[in-house]
Amino acid sequence: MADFKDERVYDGPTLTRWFLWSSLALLVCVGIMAYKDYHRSWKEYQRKFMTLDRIHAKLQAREFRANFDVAQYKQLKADLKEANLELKSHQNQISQLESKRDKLDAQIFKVKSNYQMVKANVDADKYSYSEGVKNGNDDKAFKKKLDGEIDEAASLNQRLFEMNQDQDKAVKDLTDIYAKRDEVQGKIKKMTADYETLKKKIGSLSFDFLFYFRNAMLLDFMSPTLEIQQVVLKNLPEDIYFTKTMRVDRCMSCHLGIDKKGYDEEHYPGIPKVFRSHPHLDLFLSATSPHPMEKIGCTICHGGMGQALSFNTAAHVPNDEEEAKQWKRKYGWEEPEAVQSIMLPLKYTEGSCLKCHGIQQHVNFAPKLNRGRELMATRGCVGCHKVKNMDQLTKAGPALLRVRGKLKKDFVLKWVWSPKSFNPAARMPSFFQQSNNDSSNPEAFAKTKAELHALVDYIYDDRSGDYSPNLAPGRGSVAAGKKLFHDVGCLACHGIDDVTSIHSDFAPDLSGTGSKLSAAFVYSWIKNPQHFNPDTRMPSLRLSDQEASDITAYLMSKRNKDFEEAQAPDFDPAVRDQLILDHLTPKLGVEGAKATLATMDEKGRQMFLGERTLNRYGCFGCHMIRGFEDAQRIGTELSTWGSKRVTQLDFGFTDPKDISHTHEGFVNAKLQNPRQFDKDKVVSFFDRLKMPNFYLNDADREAIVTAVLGLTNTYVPDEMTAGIHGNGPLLEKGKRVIEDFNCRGCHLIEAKDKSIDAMLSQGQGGRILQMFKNESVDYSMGPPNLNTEGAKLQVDWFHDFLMGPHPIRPWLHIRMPSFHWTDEKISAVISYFNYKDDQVFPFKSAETTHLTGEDLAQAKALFNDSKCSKCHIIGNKVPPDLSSAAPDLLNVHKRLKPDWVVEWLKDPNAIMPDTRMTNFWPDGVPSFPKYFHGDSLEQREALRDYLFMMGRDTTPSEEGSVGGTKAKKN
Amino acid sequence: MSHLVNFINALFNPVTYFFFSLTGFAAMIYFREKWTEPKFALKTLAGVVVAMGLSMFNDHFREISTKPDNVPIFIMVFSVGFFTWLSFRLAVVNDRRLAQGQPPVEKETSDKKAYVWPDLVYIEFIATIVGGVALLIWSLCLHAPLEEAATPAWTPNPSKAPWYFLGLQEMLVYYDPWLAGVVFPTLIIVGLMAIPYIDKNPKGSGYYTFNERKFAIVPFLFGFLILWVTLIFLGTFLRGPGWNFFGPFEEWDPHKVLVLNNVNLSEYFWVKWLGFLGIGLPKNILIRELPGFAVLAVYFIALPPLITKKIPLMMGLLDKLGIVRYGVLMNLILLMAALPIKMLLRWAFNLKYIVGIPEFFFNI
Repeated sequence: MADFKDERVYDGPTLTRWFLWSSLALLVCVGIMAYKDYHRSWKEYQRKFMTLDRIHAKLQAREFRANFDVAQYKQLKADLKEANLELKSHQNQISQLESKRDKLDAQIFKVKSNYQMVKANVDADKYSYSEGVKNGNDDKAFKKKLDGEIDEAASLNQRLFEMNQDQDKAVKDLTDIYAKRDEVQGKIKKMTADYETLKKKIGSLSFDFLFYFRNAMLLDFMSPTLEIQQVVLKNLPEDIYFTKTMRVDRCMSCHLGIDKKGYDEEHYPGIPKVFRSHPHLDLFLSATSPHPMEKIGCTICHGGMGQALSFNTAAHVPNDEEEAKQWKRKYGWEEPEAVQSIMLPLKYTEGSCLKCHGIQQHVNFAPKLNRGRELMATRGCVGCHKVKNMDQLTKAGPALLRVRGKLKKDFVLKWVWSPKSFNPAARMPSFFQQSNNDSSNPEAFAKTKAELHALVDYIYDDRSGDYSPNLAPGRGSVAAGKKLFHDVGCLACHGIDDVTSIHSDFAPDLSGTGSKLSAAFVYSWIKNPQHFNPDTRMPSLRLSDQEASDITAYLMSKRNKDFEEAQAPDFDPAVRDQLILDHLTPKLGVEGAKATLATMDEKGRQMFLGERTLNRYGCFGCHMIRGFEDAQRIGTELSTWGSKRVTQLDFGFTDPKDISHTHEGFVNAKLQNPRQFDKDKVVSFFDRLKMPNFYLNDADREAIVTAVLGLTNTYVPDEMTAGIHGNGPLLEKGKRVIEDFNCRGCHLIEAKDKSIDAMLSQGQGGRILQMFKNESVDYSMGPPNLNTEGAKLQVDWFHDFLMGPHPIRPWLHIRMPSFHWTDEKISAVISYFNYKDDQVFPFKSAETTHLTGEDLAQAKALFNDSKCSKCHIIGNKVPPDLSSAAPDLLNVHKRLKPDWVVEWLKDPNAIMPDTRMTNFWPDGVPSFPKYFHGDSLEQREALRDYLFMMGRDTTPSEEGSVGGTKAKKN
Repeated sequence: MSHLVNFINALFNPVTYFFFSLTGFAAMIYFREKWTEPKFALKTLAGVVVAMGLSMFNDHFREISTKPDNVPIFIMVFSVGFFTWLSFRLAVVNDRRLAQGQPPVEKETSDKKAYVWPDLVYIEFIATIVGGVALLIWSLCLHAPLEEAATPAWTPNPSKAPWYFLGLQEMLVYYDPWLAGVVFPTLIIVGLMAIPYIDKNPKGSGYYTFNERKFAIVPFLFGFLILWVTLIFLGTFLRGPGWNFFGPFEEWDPHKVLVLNNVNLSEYFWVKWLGFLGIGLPKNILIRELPGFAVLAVYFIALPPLITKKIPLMMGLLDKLGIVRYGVLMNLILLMAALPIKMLLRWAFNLKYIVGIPEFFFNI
């Protein structure tokens, strides 16, 4: 052996030591691996949540004890003692009964098994006998045996019945004896039931041996209490390009209180964000909401990696820098990378509604998104950028027709050059004097001035046509005009700097009108907007000559002196000619361009550059311009912009520290200063960024970012898409008109069960209602709530009203405008309201019962007792106090649907929470029980029938007899 | 500071990078006596570590170098460095001894035996365990660098091959896929297989030596270190979005714009050099590409006999190896050299193809 050792290169013990240490290291590593696999952050959250729940339950238990009625409890205990004592006196009887019951138990069991045996024999023998008969073997003896068995079974059954009866009696006697004690015991149990439940809950939430055993490492495969929670969403698959897989959301493994009520500051002061309930459980996650967790999950709205179970892998994205810092400190947060979908910062989550609700014009309870989409429509974003579901909208700006008859050229020059200097609230964006073409870039600055002049000359050319106002205003009062402007409803669409309680930007801000238009134009325009532009959306408010003159006087008094005195920029023709050459050279070459330029006269040059400039800036995106009806949008399509890669966005040479290189950072920066990505770039004049500056405020910018981030290519199957099923498309058609004509500016629409204040607080109310609130005006003086309007109005009346509105409450200052709607628009609106309320449409009769005799008498008495005429107008009878007046009841039969009237009378507040209409059947209890046997429904129907008869003039005469119009005449 | 950063970035452009790796390689061979000294080697290592540590203060360098994907590259750089040093160290020591007439170090233990059992099996087993421990620690410390689901509509930018194939991917910049992706890889394998049959030198068996095996070691290490390892390093750290070249401290801007206009040899020949004749590019493909074919013929047919006559290291090689062995060897070496040559031509003359027949996808 010694030789062997000597001739070996390697030393045995050294190798063994190597083996020892390396295998120990392996063991340690395997241990660490197993622990790391076992120790997951979601388990930590579940433990914390348990503790939270436990502490809460303990607090509740303590509170229960504090509020516990000890005296009553003691009394019950004493009662129990007494009852037990009383039972003792019946001890003999009880033991007798109990032994009887128990004995019978044994006997019943015996007889029952006997009976079952005999019954089984009977069934088997019946079969054998019948089979024998079928085969021609009628065994008489066997038949006799069978009959005997049948008799035996019957008698056994009878005995069983009797014994059961005996036992029932014994049990009942026992119960009677115990009755008093049981009653007291029941009361005690009821008193302490909640407490017992709490105790059980505390027990199940405790970290006891069983908890640690079930959740121990390597044992937790059996029945752990800490488990991954998840929903599997078959209907919202995840598109991983080559196939679609089920979406699996496990967010609730840590967000444990998200779908449960009450995990909020109120119930759990200081509750960590992760455990809080969803703030809108009525809309999301709860089983009764329209978006239950089992169907919708989390990531379709919030984005992020649904299957991930740790803070970073879930791709959380903070709302702002502050939160990012906090997260870095708390969770070691890192910017998500290489994931399918990152989370949307919470403030932009509403954008995700578009994934399923994209086709809908208005998404309820998504005010930021709606605002963003409204801005995209009214500011003209969609004029240059194609956006799916938004490419058929009315152009944002006024048609540039007959401009010569409306505006002075000097005004237009100054206006286009700098719209904000005329009116800080101007919606027209600024193309000029921006960071890449202002006076700090002298060359570009000079070129833009030439472009401006060419553009305006081009617009003022013949194609615009002439116009002269057809009416002249009388003498108007500025003060009266101001009041009218405030009261009649102009403010639902227009803003003006005099009014601070509300500023609407649906239509142009009218500050400075006096510096812009002539009085004759304003007067003609507000009297009849269609005279100037047959396609305008501006409605007529049916102003009298005097009213129109007053408003004209008021608007003409609004002037901008600074703007009037300012000089329009002038241009250098040499620069203009150079621009024309720059346009021509790529196609014609230098010499060719020069030759072509030489053939143009002064006007020709202006026209050429004007047309090129108009095309370059895409003016036709917002303005109807003759000859450019079919021009293509000049901007990037945004339909799936939110799904673009960040690397596809050109941030130019901006520093990520200044502008976050993310989607939201890009849109935000683009809206803040659209030209800033040209900074430090060497780029020719024509290739510079052209997007104009809208000078939006922070809130509006955030709204647009929300709407743009929501434009993704996320796959949503048809079955989950809103607005395309059933009557959806018809509803959307109506909604389009409603949005286009700003019906929501005045009316509440789709405000079921919600008060005006509640709607306003959720950003759902119209601007006029907001103004009423801000100015503390009674809502009843405002435009009506249109909830259940489809169920309410008769279709014919509705149509007539929209064709030519006439006041229902003439004492109101605010007016329903006369829109010049086509039949198509009116039909769309009426069918929208009807389909929304699940109405039979379009044909529905308004027949009611013709009351006679006693019914009629009672209905009339009910009508009189209810004192309807105290508030309601009835024909010529007008209530003395108009401030609390209500619509004319003689029109009810023409206007309202009979079914709706009954529903309305039942609980007016349910339909219009802010109504002043009295409820005569509070909680279904009639206020006048003497009529119609106190039957509420019958009363309401009779009242309705009476109202309809009254309107049709078939009401009874004073004597109480019934007589129709005909009868009277006769 | 920014000047230094810019200077280093500029230094790492492909030309200087390749130039420095070539001179570095030559220096490595020439100064082997010096750098194999343990003290010198330790100082170099310390220098590299300090330089890397300082580089970590640069955001862009840190972002790239701390990616879990790039951990193997660091392991590779340091392990290749160490084992190259070790082999040279052992070779240098032996060479010194041989020069003095002493036997190599290995001679001292050559009488002893290493048994399959227990030695080999035991050591292999321990190696397995140690390897397992290393992999476990690695996977415990770093998450697997998974990416988002693949999509046919979007290629990741930069789109990189697995790290061990980055050398091949680099070749694709200079040669067409059929060459860089099919012919060359095949020839690499065939060439490696052919080595035992070409190498007739009986020396160096069982011990480390450089002097006795110069001709075997230099081309092999050139192929391995310069054309494989440094290209992997380059592909990992210096190739960014758009497969553009970025300095180690440069931001990987996907919008970076570089001049990438390249010209074929035929265009050089017919348009630039013979431009005065006013003939332009011949319509006939074969005539058009004649200069390219001529160059190839010279390279593969005329060069081998010339080399054995003129180049000192190769003189007499033909006689030693015989015509077949010599022919195979020359072909392999010339093919290997074709890569750096094409790189140089690309950088120096923007040369696109020597033979460019896109009509038949035949481009060299």
